[in-house]
Amino acid sequence: MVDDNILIARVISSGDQHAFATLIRKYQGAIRQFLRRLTAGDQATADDIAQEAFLRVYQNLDSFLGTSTFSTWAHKIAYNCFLKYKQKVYHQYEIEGFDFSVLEAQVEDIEKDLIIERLMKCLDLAERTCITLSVSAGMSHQEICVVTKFPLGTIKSHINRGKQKLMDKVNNHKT
Amino acid sequence: MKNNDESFLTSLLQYHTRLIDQQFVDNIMNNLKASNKFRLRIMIIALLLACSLTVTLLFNMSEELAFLNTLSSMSPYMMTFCLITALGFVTWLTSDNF
Repeated sequence: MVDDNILIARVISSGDQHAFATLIRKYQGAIRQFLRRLTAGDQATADDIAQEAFLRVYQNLDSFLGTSTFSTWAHKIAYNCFLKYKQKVYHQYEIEGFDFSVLEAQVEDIEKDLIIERLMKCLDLAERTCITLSVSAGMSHQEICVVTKFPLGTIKSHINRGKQKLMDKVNNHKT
Repeated sequence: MKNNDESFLTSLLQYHTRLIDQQFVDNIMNNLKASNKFRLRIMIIALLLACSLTVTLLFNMSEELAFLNTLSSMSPYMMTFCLITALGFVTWLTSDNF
């Protein structure tokens, strides 16, 4: 596997499209999953935003300074693209008719992703973003700070509050 | 119990499937190619216009002088407007974002 920095250098210096395609192949999973969580399971919209994000990555690659990892930088661009989309289209996410019993059943991995994407509807956007970046994408609080520009304390409280909300939803079902 | 709930939630929140789709990559690369092609076309048109203007002015020095006279007699506001328009067009042309 070729190092990210080498691929980025190839794209910037000679516009190497194969190198950029390799970068997309490597990071499409993380970015698309992240956006699917933010859109609470609206997969078509998430993929459209992901495409827009990768085009912006290509256009702004020469401004990537390497102060964070490429993954963090790409997540930041994807998050900004999502915010831009959200300004244009406002969705009031409601968690209606969600069958929590599916959480107890043995389900396939792909179904687990669909379940958690729908479960994201009970969180507000900031909680959704911080929880996904922290628990799902495995980013440190510092990296989340780079992506979202939230202060560290705010990130921690969003994660705790979001987890509590999700736990309450699951526990309420159990009792 | 609380730890169990938390670990259950943490495991549920993970990305369970790896999204790898060649079609997705191809779509982005096609969009990139299309925007590059459009940019190249505009550049060629601008270059041809500039060349034809240069050649015309080179072979008609008197007209060139008349053109310079016209420029110098223009109002400063008009000159500034023309200059900003020309600069804006060049910036737009050389920008990666268009």
